[in-house]
Amino acid sequence: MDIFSGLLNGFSIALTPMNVLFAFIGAVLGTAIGVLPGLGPAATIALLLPATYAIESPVTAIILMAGIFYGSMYGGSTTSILLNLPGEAASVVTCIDGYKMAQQGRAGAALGIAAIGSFVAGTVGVIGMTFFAPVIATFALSFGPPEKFSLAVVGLLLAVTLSGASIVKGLIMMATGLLLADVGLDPISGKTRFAFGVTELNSGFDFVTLAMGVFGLGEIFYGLEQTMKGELVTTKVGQVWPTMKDWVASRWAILRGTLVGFFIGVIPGGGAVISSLVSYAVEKRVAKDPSQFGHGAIQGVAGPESANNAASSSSFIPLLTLGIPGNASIAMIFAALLIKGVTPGPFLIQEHPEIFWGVIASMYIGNVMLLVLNLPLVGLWAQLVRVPFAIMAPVIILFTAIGSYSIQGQVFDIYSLVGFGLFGYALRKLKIEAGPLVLAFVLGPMVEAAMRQSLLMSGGDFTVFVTRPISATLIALFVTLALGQAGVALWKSRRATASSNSNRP
Amino acid sequence: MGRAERVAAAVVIGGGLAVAWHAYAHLKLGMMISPGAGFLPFWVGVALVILGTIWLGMSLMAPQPQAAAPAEAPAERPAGHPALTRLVPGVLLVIAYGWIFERAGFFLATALFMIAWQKGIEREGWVKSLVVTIVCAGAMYLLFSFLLKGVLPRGTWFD
Amino acid sequence: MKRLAASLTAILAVAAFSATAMAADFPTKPVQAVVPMAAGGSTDLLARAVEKYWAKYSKQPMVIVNKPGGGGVVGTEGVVRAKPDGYTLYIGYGSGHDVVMPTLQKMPYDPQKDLVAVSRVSIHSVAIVASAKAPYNDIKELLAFAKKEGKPITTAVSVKAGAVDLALTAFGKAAGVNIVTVPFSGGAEATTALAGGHLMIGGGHPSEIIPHVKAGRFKVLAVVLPERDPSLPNVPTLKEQGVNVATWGSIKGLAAPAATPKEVVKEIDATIKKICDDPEFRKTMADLNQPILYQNSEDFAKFIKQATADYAALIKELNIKID
Repeated sequence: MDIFSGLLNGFSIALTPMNVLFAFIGAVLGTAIGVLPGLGPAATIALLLPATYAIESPVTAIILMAGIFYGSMYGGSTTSILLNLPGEAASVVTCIDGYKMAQQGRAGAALGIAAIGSFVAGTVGVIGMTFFAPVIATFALSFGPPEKFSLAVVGLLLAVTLSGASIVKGLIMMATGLLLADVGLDPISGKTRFAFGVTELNSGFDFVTLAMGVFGLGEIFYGLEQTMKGELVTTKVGQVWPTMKDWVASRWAILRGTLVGFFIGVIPGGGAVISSLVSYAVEKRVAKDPSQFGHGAIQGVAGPESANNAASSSSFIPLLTLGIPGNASIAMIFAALLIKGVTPGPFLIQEHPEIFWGVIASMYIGNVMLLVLNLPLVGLWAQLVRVPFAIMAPVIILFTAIGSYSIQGQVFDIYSLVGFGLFGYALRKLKIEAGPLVLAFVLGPMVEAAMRQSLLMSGGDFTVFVTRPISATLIALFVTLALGQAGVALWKSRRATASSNSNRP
Repeated sequence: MGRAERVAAAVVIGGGLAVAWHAYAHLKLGMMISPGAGFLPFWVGVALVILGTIWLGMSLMAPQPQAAAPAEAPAERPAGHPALTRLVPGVLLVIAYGWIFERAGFFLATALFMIAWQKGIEREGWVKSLVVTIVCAGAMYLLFSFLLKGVLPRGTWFD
Repeated sequence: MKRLAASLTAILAVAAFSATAMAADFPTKPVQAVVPMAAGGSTDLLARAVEKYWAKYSKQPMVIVNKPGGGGVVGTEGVVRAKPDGYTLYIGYGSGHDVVMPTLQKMPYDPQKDLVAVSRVSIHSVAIVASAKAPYNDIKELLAFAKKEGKPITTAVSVKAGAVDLALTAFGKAAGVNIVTVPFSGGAEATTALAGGHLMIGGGHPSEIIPHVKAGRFKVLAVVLPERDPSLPNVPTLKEQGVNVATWGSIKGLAAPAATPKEVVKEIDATIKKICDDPEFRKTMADLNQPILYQNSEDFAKFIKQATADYAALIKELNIKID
């Protein structure tokens, strides 16, 4: 199908009252959970996953979830700027300069530029998706098992190395995620692994339970110990329209953030969190006066907030064209599509054009809705932070518990949820990022299956991964990136020793 | 921090050894042409041992940042450490919720959990606890009985 | 399951006085049908079709519950342990974990003794397919091509030691060629890899492959049934093409816990028969590319026994083991 007629068809689907309504619900819900610290898009989509059974049409279900995902990217900046408390992981770096700006009385400008940057990046991201996804889909079929293996492994390693946190810890998380994914029936040998006679474990851990436990419950357990103070919004929001000066200062940052976000989003293992970190680093490097960063540089808000939005759009590309979920939230949407009997992959555009183009069109609409929702109403969203922890915590616990029970109707999942919650708590205490773990859990079965399939096909020849052009290119790309990064790190550590980037509040 | 990290590193090493052994002994590594069920777990286990050792080494070599001044001890510490007065009861409450969930049914379990949370962990007064419980449990009942019709248990105690 | 059973205790207490009275009234509550596979798969689609027409012929609706996991064992075990009152049924009886798995590994229940067959609805045969661009159009050409190339025939199958894997392995043995079956996780993944030209042939159920055949991506080389598959009437069987191999593919029927009263089983069977005769249901199933091959309770039980024995013999002959 031609791109324009496809898009037109998509709009005719996305503009039906039902789909507009669900795009709106998704945008509102996404902004809300983006604002609320501790409840990220992955956990929210996980909570809503059982509800998709009740939604008849798959397009509507995906429109809702996509709305939550990119909507949360808008909301995430609000508490970062106002309270120095990231609303979700992709807005961690926004705290650094955003909160400083708020302290200087420029909270409105920071919130405004974040919303505008998000809108520009989100829209550019969707436009990019409109034109690139069908192209990628045409050669998606040449991704056989060896290519899938290389792509998934490179994605995992990128998630570990790009995030900037400790590589050793990241690799440990990745390994743990791979092992957790191995629990249960092995599809290739038909053998049950690591179940130790527990019937419920034969089918393995459920991804939703794992994600809700590690992220949602872990965060609550951590909060319980902190005796959260009911901190209120005291900062005045003020004028949200950026001044001419702000505008001039941040327009290139927005564009750079959009580009960085778009490309990192396409890589599996990339996604919003990493793209925001990379964008911040890029802004700091290209700035005329890097010393401004950390003291309220508006580029430090504009860049990352644009990047995470562009990435959230472009991370749909590998899902919809290759059937490969690149990050935790997209993995939830992947699961929702499967529940609806739609297998994302190379045939999606041909066999379900209404889903592919309907979702894309709804993202154009959703971004406009979000701009309208966010710019004038930002003060209102900030009020959400006032819901006391004493009510918020048990409600979130109940949501996660009921959510994981409802997936298979077994109480065992509530217990494993608690287990993952404690694990997430431990990670939080040890300051370890759980992202690689969750991603490895999702990609693990694919990595393993693709490796074993490739070896079966090649008769045990390991060179299959480097002799096939796409696979070899991917590996070469990663090696170049890793060497480059190592080089930069080395150069930096020689050059300066006085910088201590404590970007964790 | 330092001690917790060393313990965690030791757990990683131990876990890696256990996984690698289990994979080797029980799952079988297979041959190069068709790697068996234990192939990946074995090598991941080995990797964990190596990574854990590096981590342990790093945390042993790292300078202890002002070991005497724990930055995480805020002044507003009430009687008892919050880990004991809040975290442990909180975790136990969730487990109890799981235990009672199919027995008492979804609605009663939710209400009991809510009131126990308000009284036991947040130490709220009875009036506030009851109001919060009724509002939250009621709202969740409406929400979930709409979203997940029929999936939630009605309780085996009342039959 | 426990909770449902418990909530039915009251009804049971009354009904227990007379099994016949119960059958006459059956059903007085919605019937829960467990599909031990993921939503959206071919078994689930069949169950949903039955559910839709069940309401037309029964006083109470049918509720489908998907309980995937453990290759189908988890959900099926739930039915085995459920109260045998006819209100908990199993849709998908005759699948790989009922007729193939018991020969290969220890099961937590006996699929024949712990379940009573209600009725057979369909058989999902195994078809051998190749990419539309492949230089061979039937089994003879495939074998000639493999001989000329001197390489093993790489074959995409949906799952290890499932009905498809067994059929293709048996084909290789009977035809005297080296077949390497590459298991994927599910039929959709296997067909995608085959469409990308990464393997020489693949096996799949007609419901999975016919959409690809219609889209011009695949051609069907053979069907591995004793007779031609009604949903692929133009495709010759392996036997017709000179390779003496036939399997039963994957059978799809209904079953209930073993102790379910005979009268109730008869009642459900009668309802299923009416559904299978319904012209609209027949059309729905044709759209799903699933042939209707109805059998009543007694015949179906015998058929399951035969199919299990046939598979056991095949597994022994091929020397397949899961360790």
